[in-house]
Amino acid sequence: MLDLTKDFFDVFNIEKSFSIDKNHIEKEYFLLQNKYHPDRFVNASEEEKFEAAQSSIFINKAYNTLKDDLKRSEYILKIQSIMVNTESSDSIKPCPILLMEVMEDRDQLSELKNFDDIQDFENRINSKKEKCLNELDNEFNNENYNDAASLTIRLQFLTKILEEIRLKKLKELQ
Amino acid sequence: MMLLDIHEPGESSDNNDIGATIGIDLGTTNSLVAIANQGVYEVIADENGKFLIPSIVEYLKDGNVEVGNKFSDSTNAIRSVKRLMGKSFGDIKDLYDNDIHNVVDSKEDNEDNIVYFDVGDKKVTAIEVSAEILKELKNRAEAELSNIVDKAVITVPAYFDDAARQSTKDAAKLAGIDVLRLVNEPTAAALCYGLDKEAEGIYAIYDLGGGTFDVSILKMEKGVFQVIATGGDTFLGGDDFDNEITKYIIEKYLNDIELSSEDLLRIQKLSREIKEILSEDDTGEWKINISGEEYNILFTRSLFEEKVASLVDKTISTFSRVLIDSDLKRDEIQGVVLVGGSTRMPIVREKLNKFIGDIIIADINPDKVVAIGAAIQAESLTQGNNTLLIDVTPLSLGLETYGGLVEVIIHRNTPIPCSASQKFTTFKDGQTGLKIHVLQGEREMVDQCRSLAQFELKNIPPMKAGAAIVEVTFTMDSDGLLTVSAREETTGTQQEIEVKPSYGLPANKIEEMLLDSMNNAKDDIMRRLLAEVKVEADITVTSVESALESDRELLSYEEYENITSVIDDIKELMLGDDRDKLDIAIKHLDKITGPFAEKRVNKSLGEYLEGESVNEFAKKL
Repeated sequence: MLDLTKDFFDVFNIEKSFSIDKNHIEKEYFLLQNKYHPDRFVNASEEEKFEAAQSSIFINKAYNTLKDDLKRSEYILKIQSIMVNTESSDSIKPCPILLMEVMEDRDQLSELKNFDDIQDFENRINSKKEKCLNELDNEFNNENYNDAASLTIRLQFLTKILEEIRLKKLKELQ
Repeated sequence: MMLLDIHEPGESSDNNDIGATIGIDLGTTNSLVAIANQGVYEVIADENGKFLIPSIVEYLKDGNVEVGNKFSDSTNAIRSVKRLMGKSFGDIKDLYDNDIHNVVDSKEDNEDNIVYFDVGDKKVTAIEVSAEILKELKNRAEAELSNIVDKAVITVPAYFDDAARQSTKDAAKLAGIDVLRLVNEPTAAALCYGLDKEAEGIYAIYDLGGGTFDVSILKMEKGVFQVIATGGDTFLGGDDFDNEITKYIIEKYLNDIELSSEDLLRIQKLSREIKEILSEDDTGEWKINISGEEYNILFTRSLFEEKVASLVDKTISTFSRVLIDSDLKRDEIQGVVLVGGSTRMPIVREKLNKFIGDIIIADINPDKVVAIGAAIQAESLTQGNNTLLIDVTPLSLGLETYGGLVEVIIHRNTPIPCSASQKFTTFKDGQTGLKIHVLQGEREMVDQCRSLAQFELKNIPPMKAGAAIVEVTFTMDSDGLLTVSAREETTGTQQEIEVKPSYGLPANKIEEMLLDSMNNAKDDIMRRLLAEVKVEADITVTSVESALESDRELLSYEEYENITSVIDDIKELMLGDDRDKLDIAIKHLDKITGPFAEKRVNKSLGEYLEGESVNEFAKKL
């Protein structure tokens, strides 16, 4: 059975850093599932089946966390015991300037009517996200976790608005 | 590799040594069965070399049942039963106008909302009809293998909901087949294609069958198949293309003529023939005899394509939605594998080509891939082989939260097995129970999603509102079976259920229901439905009472009296057994407490804004 106390980076045998080799993770993921997936244990004992399920769930969780930029960033901060954007008083909070920017973006999105305009807007948000990811990578490399936390909050908002754009695009197609 | 070879009868020799496993493609129009035998996969053909069995079940006058006679003109022959799997009578009335023949629609026969077909001297359900097709496939496999077959992988449309999946399992049970797994049709197709061509990378499967449309995107690498995203339409397939032709023929040639259901059947059959011919030829002429008069039907491919263009466009927009869902760009897709007989229509290929470019793969037999993929998976799940399928949840799963909203716990397209938790809290002082209502679907409101199960976590010790923390965990195993557990953290109070669809037919009752007398079965279902409404009533009343306790000041005296009197009515009705009255009373209570709920939300929002910090404000964005 897979050691479920491992952290997600160890599961995939990679260094704990924000920038990761997604292809490597994918390959490892396939190898790990090939080894631990419950379908590999159809003729095994109930106990082995149960362990396989636990391992496979853990691998899926680790994979989903690491391949996603925001979840990976939040996960590294969690390892450093840094809380972002929660109600707790020692949590890092969003700054007012960011909130203003988010409100402006959302106003703009709500006014967009046709698919191409939404697409343009999405490209704009995506380039903001790219920039944010680069900065995050820098701060994590320099172990500036507080700055990384602020950028993670920014990434949270950008991810959220990208999700809303996606939903709006889906609606347009329906 | 011998993947796509048809096996000739009599050719098999020593495949009894290892119990061979079967894969079944249970299609809307045609069904197939394939076997896996030591790395060789073959579709079983009948004595005439035909491997497609028309999914037509005819109830003969002598009491026998005949499966697969596509020439049957009898009105006791049921076609396309797959489209009705898991559907209630109410569902299909909304979905079809009038084109299902012999569905019993007299009110008296349908109190329990199950779809029955009138087939002469008896009535049968969709599950029973489907079971007949499965029995035929099983018999075919047994004859081929000279061995008993009792396990199979059966394929279903990726977009089949839980009710339809459960019905398919029930049908298999009736046919004496133990379902190893239900595998999505496009996924099965990918298994077959990927193995046969040793394909690696990201591929889309475009599966347009007789009655359903699915599109899935998969990543394939060294025998591991990962489903990335899936979507579809369970009410779009070749049948709909036929219907467009039927509509045209009636409008153009038979406008004022009274048509019997036999006539209609014949026109439908002709429509299918016209569609198939026009996939090859540009034009054609057909004759049909209606009420003694012969009609000459002229049809060209361009006219046909004009009639069906919007249907094909619908599949393309589903495809682009799935692409958006998968976060992939069109140019990241290496190939689009065509599956299902309906992809033979040139218009489908043209429009796809225009949408995604010249990466369409049509060099495999679109009829057989799904059955072979099912056989591959059946082998993997019994003897084991070199393939592994990592599937995803096709629809999101969530919980009802305050105000009839759905909080998603497991998003669609999450790889399974998986597990996810969410913490909830009590909303009033001294609350000792928490309603857990499990839902499936992509919409925000409870009433727009499918309700899967409801239970109540009881015995939470009375605490201040918000102090008790209840963690709800959803776990889905690799079979797609969902388990929901709720645990109160301070005391460890815990409850867990396996989620079986709370509609359709109860699984353990299925055989009894179908085989015993109809009356008993009906009583049984009525009792269950009544019990469910009572649970709902209990939950609703409890939550309204607790809201009244904490926020009574938001109501005028009349409003308060009005609400409490309805609650009293409900309490009295809960002692009796009038389901409809109770149902109406609950709906009424819901309605009259609507403004109250709104006021409560506003009140708590007001409190929230007063003590607002930047962080709290941010959370609302």
